[in-house]
Amino acid sequence: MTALTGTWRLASASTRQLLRSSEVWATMIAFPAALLAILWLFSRLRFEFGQQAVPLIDFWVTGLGLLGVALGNTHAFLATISTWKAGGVLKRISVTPIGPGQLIVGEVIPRAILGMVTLVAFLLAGNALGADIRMGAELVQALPVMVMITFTGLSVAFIIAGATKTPQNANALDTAVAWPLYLVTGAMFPLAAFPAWLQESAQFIPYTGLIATVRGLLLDGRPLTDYGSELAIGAIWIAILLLGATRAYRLVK
Amino acid sequence: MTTAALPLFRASFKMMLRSRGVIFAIVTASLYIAFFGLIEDLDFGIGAETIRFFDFVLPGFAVFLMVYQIQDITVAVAASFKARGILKRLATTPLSPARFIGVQALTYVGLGVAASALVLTIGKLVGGNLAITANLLWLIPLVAVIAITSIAMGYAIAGLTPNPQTATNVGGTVSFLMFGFSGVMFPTEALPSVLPEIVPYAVPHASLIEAIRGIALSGDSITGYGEQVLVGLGWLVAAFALAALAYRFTDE
Repeated sequence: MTALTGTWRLASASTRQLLRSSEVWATMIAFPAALLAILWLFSRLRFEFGQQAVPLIDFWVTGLGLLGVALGNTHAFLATISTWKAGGVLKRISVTPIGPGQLIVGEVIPRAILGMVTLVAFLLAGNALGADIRMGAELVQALPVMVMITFTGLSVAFIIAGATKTPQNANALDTAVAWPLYLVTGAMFPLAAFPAWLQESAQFIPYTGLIATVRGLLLDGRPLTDYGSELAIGAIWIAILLLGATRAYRLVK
Repeated sequence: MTTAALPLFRASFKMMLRSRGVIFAIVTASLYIAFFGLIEDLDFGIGAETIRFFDFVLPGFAVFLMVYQIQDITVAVAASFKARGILKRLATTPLSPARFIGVQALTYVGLGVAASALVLTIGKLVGGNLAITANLLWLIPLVAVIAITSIAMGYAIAGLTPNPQTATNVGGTVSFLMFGFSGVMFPTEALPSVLPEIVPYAVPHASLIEAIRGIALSGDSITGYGEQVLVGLGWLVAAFALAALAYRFTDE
């Protein structure tokens, strides 16, 4: 069996496991569906700040929904890899012809695909329920940004799993990291409603620029090229997080 | 409380104070409100009406964030008891499920009330327009009813689900839907058609949060909220009955 075949078979097995997992159903189906139901029923509601007004459904589908799905995917992935670490799975795998690296790639690929499919399905469903989201070429342009959002989350999961000793601690740390992100990335509330110092510093937080980019593309129809600095900051974060992930999550642990 | 339940209450109280989840809940609820205090210019708009965001969410968040965490902890603990066969062992003792749930609920009520008071105080300090009157004391029994209802719902969810993971997922989804529809975050008057009239009766906590908001923001008297209190008590009884039925000591 070649390395590629082995990785492919692992990815297939991981996909089947993913689809059977109740956690995946909760984070990828139940949470997005509940959020969409809430937003649909509150579609008369809008946020007003400065001289602007934006319907809640538009703002949250492209912010809270996007971040919630990405962090939900991260949370479910973290549960898996922290359990591997705590249970010594990687160490056992390392004595088989399948390398730990293949195991991780086999798990990451289905997670990333699942995350992307859910994000796109969420946006399509949001649009069908009344969110004024552009679903044409703008969505295609937003796809690489959503890939960046997904990989930012998966990298964070590796770091947290590597930095903690038990799945329970990993879960607690992930929750502690996740909740401020909902507040300060502009996912839930418009950053323009906050003081200038917070608006400026929030630009350097992972996800902030990526969410702003997706909103700009899908709500305002602006081109991707308008978001060079946001994408650069997002890319720098991914590079830093990936580096941190390789240091923190050692395969032989 | 009977002498039989007192040792259980003491043990539960000690366990609660040791829980990291409890500390995390208090800290996060306080930080959320402190963060909302940073908001300089944000309103909800419904048609021609405008509602100041921070004032609207402060009373509901002060109660719900804490109660949400307590319910989450209850679901996890109760489902874990069930999965580990602790209930079957308890079945051989004189303790009844109703008393067990009652003692656990009482343990967390004081915490829920104290944490909500702390969060409201922080909210006031960071700019919330709370009406500081003696009527605020009515929030104590109202928050207590919400906390006990949530804890009973946590036991009901743990009893009705097959394993801890499913229980946690179902609990999270139920809490999230309550967060959306109970008037914690969004004005229910923005809902379409007849839903604004139905929601206060159909969604747990919604009627009591309406009363809490009126007392906290306008200094209203509790007497103006008799119907809301009755609906809240109805949900408390219903949740307790469901919990006692669903969370059986014979389950594994």
